[in-house]
Amino acid sequence: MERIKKKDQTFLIGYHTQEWRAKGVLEAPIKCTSDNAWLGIGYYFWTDLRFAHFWGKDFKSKSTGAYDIYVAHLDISHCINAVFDENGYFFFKEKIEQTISFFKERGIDISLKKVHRFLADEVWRELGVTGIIYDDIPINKRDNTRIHSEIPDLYYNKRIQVVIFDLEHITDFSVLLEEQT
Amino acid sequence: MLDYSKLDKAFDNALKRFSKDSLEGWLAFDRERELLEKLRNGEAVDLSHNTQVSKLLDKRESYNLTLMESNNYALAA
Repeated sequence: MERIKKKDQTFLIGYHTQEWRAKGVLEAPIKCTSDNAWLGIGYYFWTDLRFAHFWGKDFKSKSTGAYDIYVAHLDISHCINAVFDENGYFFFKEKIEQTISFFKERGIDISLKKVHRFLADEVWRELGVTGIIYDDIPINKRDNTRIHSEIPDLYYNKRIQVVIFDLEHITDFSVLLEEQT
Repeated sequence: MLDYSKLDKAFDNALKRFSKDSLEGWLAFDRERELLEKLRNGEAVDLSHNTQVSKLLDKRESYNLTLMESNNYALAA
């Protein structure tokens, strides 16, 4: 993971992929509100440029045939790090399980979307959590043909995503690569 | 860095704050937000309305066929 130090603070470098636009480039990342948003509503970034390219090829070039990759500096000082921090991983796991039980006990159907939206709306922000670092499943395409391992079923290559809930923790957002195919 | 032991208690308290009613309130808000998102993304609302039409039945138009079984010539023109 790439980092940049500015004054006394270190930022993580994140890559954000969007469909190529004929008219100009984005000035800010687009908030993902998709039903299957892995970690809830928020601004999603890859930590590895390669995965940003794969995301563009597979999902972000359907209308125009091309995609853009943006780069930004992410303040992850108040993110749950469920990838590299043992405490972070077990905290995240436990809280997801706790929330699932909380919904079930009240007779409410659970889904990934409902659990994460609830946590982002009602819990994480209140607790001062500004985002989550998590490793995604090791496959990319809808037809599961892109598997990120030369020797499956050992998925040694973590496909890491960061979700940041609010724009204020994202700085220096700019386009890095335009009209990629 | 986050202090997970502090967050652990704060998380529990945040959940405890929710009664069944306040959770239902959040679910209603989420459903409405989702609907608005779909509309913003170009989905449309298709309304249809069916009106029930009463049909007048005229007994002269119906025949009790069972009563006619023994009379093979009843339906002959």
